[in-house]
Amino acid sequence: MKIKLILVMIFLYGGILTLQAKEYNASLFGIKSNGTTLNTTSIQRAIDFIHEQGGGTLRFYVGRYLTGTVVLKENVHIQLEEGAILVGSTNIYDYNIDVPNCALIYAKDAKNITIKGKGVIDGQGREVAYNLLAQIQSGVLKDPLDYDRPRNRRPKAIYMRSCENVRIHGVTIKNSADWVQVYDQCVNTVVDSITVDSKAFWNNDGIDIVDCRNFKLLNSFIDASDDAICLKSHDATKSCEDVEIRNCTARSSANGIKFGTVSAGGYKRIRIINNKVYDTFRSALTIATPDGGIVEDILVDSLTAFNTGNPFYLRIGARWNKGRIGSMNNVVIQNVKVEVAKEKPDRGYSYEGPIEDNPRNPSPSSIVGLKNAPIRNVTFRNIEISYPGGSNQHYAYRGTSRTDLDSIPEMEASYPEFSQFKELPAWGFYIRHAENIHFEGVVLKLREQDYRPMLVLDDVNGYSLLRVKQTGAKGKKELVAQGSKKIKP
Amino acid sequence: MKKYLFLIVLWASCFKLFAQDYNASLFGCKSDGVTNNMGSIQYAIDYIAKKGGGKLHFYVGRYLTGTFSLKSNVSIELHEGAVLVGSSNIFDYSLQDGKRALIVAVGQSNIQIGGKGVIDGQQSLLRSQVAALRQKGNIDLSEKAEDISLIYLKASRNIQINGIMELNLLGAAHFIDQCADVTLSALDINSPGSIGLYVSNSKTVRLSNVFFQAIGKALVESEGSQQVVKENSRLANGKTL
Repeated sequence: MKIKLILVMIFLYGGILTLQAKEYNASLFGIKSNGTTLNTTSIQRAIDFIHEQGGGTLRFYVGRYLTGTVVLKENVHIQLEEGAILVGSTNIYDYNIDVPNCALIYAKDAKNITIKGKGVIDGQGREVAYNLLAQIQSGVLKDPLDYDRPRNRRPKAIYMRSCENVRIHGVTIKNSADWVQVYDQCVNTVVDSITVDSKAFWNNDGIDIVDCRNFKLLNSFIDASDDAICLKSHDATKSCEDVEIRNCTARSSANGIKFGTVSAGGYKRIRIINNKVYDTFRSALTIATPDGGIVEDILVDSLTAFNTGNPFYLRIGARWNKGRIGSMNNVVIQNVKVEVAKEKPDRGYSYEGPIEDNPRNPSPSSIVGLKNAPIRNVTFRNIEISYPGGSNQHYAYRGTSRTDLDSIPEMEASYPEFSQFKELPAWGFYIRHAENIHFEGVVLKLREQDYRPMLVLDDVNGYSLLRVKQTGAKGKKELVAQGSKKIKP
Repeated sequence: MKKYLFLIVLWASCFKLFAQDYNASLFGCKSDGVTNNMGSIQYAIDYIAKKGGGKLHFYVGRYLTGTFSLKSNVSIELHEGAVLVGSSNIFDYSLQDGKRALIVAVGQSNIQIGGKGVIDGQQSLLRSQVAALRQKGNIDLSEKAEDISLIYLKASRNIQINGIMELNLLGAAHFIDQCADVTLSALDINSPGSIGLYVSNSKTVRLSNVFFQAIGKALVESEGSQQVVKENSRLANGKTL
């Protein structure tokens, strides 16, 4: 009786083993770790083989594995052991430049794929971008050049489109020529414990979560020259839903955490919990919907930002919205501490953010909707922000009279950025075209005197201020409300 | 018929008058903030001058450079976000006509430097490098690092500098000697302890809508200048210059 049971168990155990994915070392496919052999075809053959066998793990041990684009397939897992580096070729023609989003690691319509381990993916993006530029200038490739740099064909490090059950764990991703990693219309994705170090070229977004459902970004460190953690929506019929960003640290020469810029469909049920932002040129958090996207049910809890250019920028615009008007509703931002820098916060990083929108004194946090589309139901709870102050009204001036406030352009069709209005009339918060805005336990500190008031409300239909305090500002009125209505909290 | 011919000729000549545009990247300029571009920028200016003039465009990014010389009919456009970053190494500033400066024009004419970009002299880095060199005895003690100007114009005419933000210079932002018809407009100068504008022996120097955020002395007029015109230019405290 007992023996029978043991036999059954052994049989079962064996069955489980064969169900488990098989493992393959890279060398099995002639993949060389010498850093000079271009391994594109060998790695691709390995992936295809493992895929045809029903799945498994392709394992890279210590070494430098030079490669161009490889396409991941269903049930194939890449294991980059500590010391293994996938090195992106510097030759632009080693990438799949004929598709709209070329990338070093590319996947489309694939299920169950993993990239994990303590290894590194290095895109060598600056060299790739320069070589691409040279091909454009020699006339072989056609490109309009935006701001004197290639618009198209800069490879991303990772691009995954319409994939399911993707796991990215532990790896370091470096030096992309474009956005570092894009997950577009993916379902059930977990990105956990990764490191992004990418200041190699322009548009180096750290991570782009585009129209994804059930996405978790956890325990990761992201240092990127463009927006560090970025949610986007490229498809008006899709949206980012049920996204969680937790325990991450972000550094950027643009925004720390950003919704947008392209916001066609929108963002629903997004939770941003316990994150840090530092040395960031623009806003710690930007929520922008300029392209008709619907933003609702957003929770930002426990955010710390220090040495940042701006705390918060919430914006509805009308840029590529094609007649649809975006909306923003139910946003809770709580347990936040921010220190705004006086000097340029990203000074010394590669590809520093541009000095622009001048003349302008230090910008306030802003919540700016549209006349016909106010930003609705926003709560700021338990917030502490320290602003530099020290504005000079002879350099840039915006008063708070009706005429002065009306002189602030709507700029609904412009690229949304906290500095876009140039000088704003407040040092703490500027709120325009909004409805039901609640402040509870908000302390704003001013380090040097400012000619502007702390808070300016213009066309705010319903606001409440509970335990709102300021320190540092002296001898003037600190609240200006024009065309706005106070309500009980 | 004659009239039309005349118009066509006029139209064609207009084209010739229009400056040719060149992007900085065409000459290998890098906007990464670490590559020293002085060779590329100088080659670009010389090349454009040889082709009969035009405009060199810098788009967003930080372009590190040492001294370069302007040539007649070659203009520079610093688009918003573009920063010309002065090297923090004094040896990257060559002596031109007895002076060190980042941008030099000697005996040139018809030049515009425009746009909403920035020129950053990296004052403190340069000063500390010079101090360190002095301490080690590696530099002639008579070397006046404090005299490195941002823009040195000598015996030149018809020069316009418009819209630029000028930061952190050691010497004068604009050192103008024996020039004629120089216009500085809509500049934003922020350089503690420096001289904004030094003018000597020049004729018709116009300063309009210049804001001095921080400056040692905004304007020094030496002997022999005629028609130094100040319009709507202000100091940080709001006082008119």
